[in-house]
Parts: sequence; structure tokens; C-alpha cells
Amino acid sequence: MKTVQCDILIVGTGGAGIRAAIEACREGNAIRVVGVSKGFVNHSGATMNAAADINLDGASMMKLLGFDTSNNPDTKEAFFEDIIREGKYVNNQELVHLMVDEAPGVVQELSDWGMRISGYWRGAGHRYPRGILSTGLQIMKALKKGLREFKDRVVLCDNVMLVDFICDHQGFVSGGVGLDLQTGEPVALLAKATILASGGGSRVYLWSTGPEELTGDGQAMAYRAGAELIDMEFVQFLASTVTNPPTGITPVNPILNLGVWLLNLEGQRFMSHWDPQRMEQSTRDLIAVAIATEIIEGRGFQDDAGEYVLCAFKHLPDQVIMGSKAVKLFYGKKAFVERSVKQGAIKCLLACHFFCGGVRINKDCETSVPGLFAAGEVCGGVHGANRLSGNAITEILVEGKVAGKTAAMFATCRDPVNSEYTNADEMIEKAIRAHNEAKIRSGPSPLELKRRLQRIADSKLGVVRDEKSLKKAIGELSNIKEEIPCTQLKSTQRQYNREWLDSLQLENMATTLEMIAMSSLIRKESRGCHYRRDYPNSSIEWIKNTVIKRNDKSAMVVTMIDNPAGMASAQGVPHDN
Amino acid sequence: MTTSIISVYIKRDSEWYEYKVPITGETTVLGVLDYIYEEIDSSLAFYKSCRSGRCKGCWIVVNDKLVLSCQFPAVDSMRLSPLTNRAIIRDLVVDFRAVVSDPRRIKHEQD
Repeated sequence: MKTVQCDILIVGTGGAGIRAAIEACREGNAIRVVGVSKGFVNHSGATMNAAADINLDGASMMKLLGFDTSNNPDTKEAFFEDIIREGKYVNNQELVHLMVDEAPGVVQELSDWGMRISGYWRGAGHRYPRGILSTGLQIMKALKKGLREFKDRVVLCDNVMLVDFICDHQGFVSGGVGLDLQTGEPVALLAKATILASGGGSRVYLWSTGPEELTGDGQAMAYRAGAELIDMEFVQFLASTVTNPPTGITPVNPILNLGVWLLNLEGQRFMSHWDPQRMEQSTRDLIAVAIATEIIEGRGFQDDAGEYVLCAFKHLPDQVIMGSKAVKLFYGKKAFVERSVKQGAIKCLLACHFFCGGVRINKDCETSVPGLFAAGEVCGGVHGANRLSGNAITEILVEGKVAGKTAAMFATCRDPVNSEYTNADEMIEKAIRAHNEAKIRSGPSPLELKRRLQRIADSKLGVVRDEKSLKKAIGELSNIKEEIPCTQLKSTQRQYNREWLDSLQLENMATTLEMIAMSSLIRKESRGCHYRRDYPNSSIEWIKNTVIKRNDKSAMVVTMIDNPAGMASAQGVPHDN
Repeated sequence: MTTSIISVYIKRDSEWYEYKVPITGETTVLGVLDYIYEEIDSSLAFYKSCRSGRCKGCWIVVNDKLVLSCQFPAVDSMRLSPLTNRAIIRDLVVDFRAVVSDPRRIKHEQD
């Protein structure tokens, strides 16, 4: 079996991972980094998928773009306030301060590395324009250019799925065991420090705007390693449309800003019940709840693929859509825009977009387990109960930078990992078990279980939740968890066996969904993107955070912790929910 | 919407295999591959990530033409094969880093 020794292991090679690699190499000039990706490094990850706006405070943005700053009264304080208000006061304010303060620096760097900028805009929920428009591809290109300086110290591996973290006898995370999908062989990656940058888990739902890889692996691995996870109930859904049937999903929110109408079966603009002022230009959480409610209450349209409402723009001149800068940027030259304009309306359904919650970190991006650091969407706290448009890229850049730096400092002070003192062998066993036992198992196929998990996610852990269905979901999830060790692979090839990959993802999906269900159940109110129809209002007593951890008996425990900073902010500003 | 059955030929390990796939309305090549993997033959190896034409990971050769499988509409009797200028990992999955010849000149394959 292959064993690799390095200083820092980075799990995930999207924006957060690459930014962390750069910073780690800057921090220590002998630091050696190994990064692993579940897909091809240059052809995977959520960052690349982003049709991106990158936020920084308006004043810094105007300066960066070389415009007159007097045109934009925005400040760091205003940016901070907007994030807290739209995050419904449950954000980790330390992390928000970090993000707001560091944003201009990390965006400037991207620009220096050659990221093309195509303008700026004001995203929904922001008081002032503060989103620099670019694309995920441009961001990744710029980051790869930044990494080139350190290319002799960084190795990025394609198609390696991390199965679990390795822990040493002191309980320090010391790298991880992966499965090299290309060869079908396990590989032990021993590292002095490990940075988790594996992104969100939106693919635990059937409809998702994220790429295939996001099956909640990072969240589940961190949980199994004993790390704390925060605010897992806040899963953001986005009004989306199907572009490339049957599975190509694209958000429609860039169009929502243009004056389109969201219509139900009765032809009503139903947003008038939810947000009469802003209507279709409301925040993501309200639009999602509105669409979900229309569908649940039987006012949606239906076809083979599922239920939906309509996003109509027949009342707008064609040029409004075709000429829009945002439409061009987000959809490119795709025939879909032209076709949609001809139709006058497009299908609009809800797709999982972002995990606001995740691994709990402090302002140095340390998790609660020594040796494990985290950055990007896999972390929770900074967005509170709802993420504003454009804050995702800023988050991954800032946290990537900080995690890289802290991990490098940690690695410099630690002796190399001795594999004898770790549980690496046990983890390797786990990685190859499904394959070795393929012939003797008789359970369901990984695909069947994956579908069942996604069905539970969509029907009971989606936008609209209630106690009865959450409890039912928890019961069903625990049944499925018992079936996972019996899953049977039909194909026994070693190289690039997709069934094997699916089987390894199952446990992670189930654990991630269980965390969402458990924290949704405990939060008996509605806040941001967490909507309970049995508790439809927000209450000031719930300005708290849910924290999930595994106890000594391997049971999932949820606790509530106070958020005094959020409470103070809420009392200082009028509460709008 | 009407459902029709199309024939799909896939080159796996230098042999051509035929699959019959029902399609309803409009479907992409990737949609067909997903169907085959999920319903007919789970040993089929192919790569997908973003499903929206951005990641550029699902390049394959369809009827001698280089396409992104997530963007290209499925047609009857289509022949799918892996890129010819990259080392094949398995079935339609190739190692993007192992360049066999100039990537811009995909040669026709005679079979």
C-alpha cells in the first residue's frame, strides 16, 4: 500500500483548498503540501461552478477598481451590519469581522493574479453595491497562477476520495486514508496538519446547484473525528431552473433582479404574500419558503420530473433579458436563454445551494480537534442563518488564507507522524471493505440507498420542515444506516468503480442528513433559511447556535449555545422578522 | 411528452456495447449515461462534475465529434467513445494529465 508523508494535507482543491496551499507555503518555506480531490483537480469543485460575485465593502471595491470612492458610501461597518442582519443575528461575529477585514486583501490578490473582472453590482440583501463580478473559472485560474510560485512544494492528486481522518495516540488528526479511484488502491496520507476544504454537501439533496462531489463527506468525516459542527439546520435553497435535462440545474436569481414574475398555478404573483415591497427581489430564504409553500399547498405545476412554479418574463421586452450583463455573465452564450425568452416563462424549482452551517471553527480556522483545520463552505458560523449573495467566494478566500497560515505554524512545531501510533490500518480496512466483500454481501445497491437518502432529504429535510416529518426522517435515516454496511457492489473492477465511490459516500450522506435533521428538530422557530411550519415565527430567545458533537458512546448530541454578540446586535437594530 | 427508445453504442475496452435507453423529451448524452449506470449497467465508468458545461470534465467523443456530454443532446444510434488523445483509465474516463497527442486535433477513429 502507498504511504505519503507531508507537512499539510488539504482535502479538497477548490478555492479554499488552493488558497490555503498558497498561504501555507508562504508561511513556512519548507512546508510540503499534498492536496487531494475526489474528482479531477482541474475539473471539479464548487468554486469552478460559481457564477461569481465576490463581496468586499463598497469603498474598498471602488478603490480596487480604480473608481471614485465618493460614489459609494459603503463602509466595512455597513458590510458587517448587513451580514449580521441578513444572517438573522446568529452569525459568529468574530468570523464576520475577519471576513470583512481581510476581504479587500484577498480580492486584490486575485486581481493581481490576473482574474478578469466584468463589473460590479448590488446583490439582493446588500444596501450598497459591493459585489465584484467574475466567474468561478477565472477565480480558479487566478489561484492556480498564485500557486505556481510554489509548484515544487505542492502536489495535487486527482480522483482520491478521503475515507476518514487518521488519528494518532494523542488524539491528533494526522492526515487521512484515501481511496485512489484511478487504481482502486487505498493510500495513507500522513500529515502533521490537515486542512478540510471539501465544500458543502448540497448533493445530499436530489436537486442541487452544486457539482456531483458535494455529498457531505467533509462534514461527516469531521464529525467522526470528534469535531463540533455548528448550525447544520441552515441549508440554503435557491430558485433554480433545469437547463440541460434531466440534471443540469442553474439558479435563476440573476434573472429575478430584472423584474420577472414568479407565478403559481392560479397565475398569482405569490411573493406579494411574503414580501410585498421587494417581491421577486426578496432574499433567498423568503423566496425559497414561498415557492415551497406554493408547491406543498397544491398551487404548483407538475410534470414527470417533479413540481415547480413559473418564472415569467413575457411582460418584459426581450432586450431586458438578452441585454442584461448579469444574464450574459451567469449563463454565457447558452441557447437556453434564447429558448427561454421565446417561451416567455421557465420552470422554477428549488435546488439546494449552500450549507450555511458546518464544522465549527475559531478565528484561526482551528476546529475543536487538534491537527484539524477547516476553511470554506465546509465551515459554519460566518453566514448565520442565511448567506448573502457574493459572500461565499469571500469566505473561502479569507478562511483559506487563515487556515493555511495557522496549519503551517502548527505543522512547523510538530514532529513527523509515525504511522505505528495511528489508526491508519483500521481506516484502510474500511476503505476497501465494500470492494472485498462485494461477493458475499446481499444488501441493496449503493444507488438504491443513495436515492432513498435523497428522497428523505427532499421530502422531509427540505425548505419547509415540521416536528413530525423531522422525527420520521431521523427514524428512516437510522434504518438506512443499518443497511449501509450490507450494500452490494454489482461490479468488481478496481479502476474507477463508480459504485464503490457511491458506497463510500453513503455513510457520509446519511450522517450529514442526520445532523441537519437533529439540529432542525431542536430549533423550534423559523430563522433565515430554516423554516418550521409548526413554528413559523422568529423569536429573540433563539438567537443561539446549535452545536453537534459525537459523545463517548458514539451518539449524536445536539446542544444550544448562547450568542451574546448576536443578541446585542438584535436589540440594537429593529428586528424585521 | 412522448417516450422513445434509442440505441446507444459505447466503446469499452476497445469493444462496442449496445444499450437501449428510453428518453422522454429532451435529454443530454450525460442523462443517457446516468440512466445506463443507474438502471442497466452500474459497471460503466464515466466522469461528471458540474453538469452545466463549466468544469469541462465530461469531454467525450460522440459520433466522431468532441463534445461535453452534459451539454450535447442525445440522439438515436449515437456512438460514444473516450478521448483519443489521453490515456484511458477505464471506459469513457481518461487521465486528463496524460496527453497522448495535441489536444486540439482529435483524430477520427477507424473501427
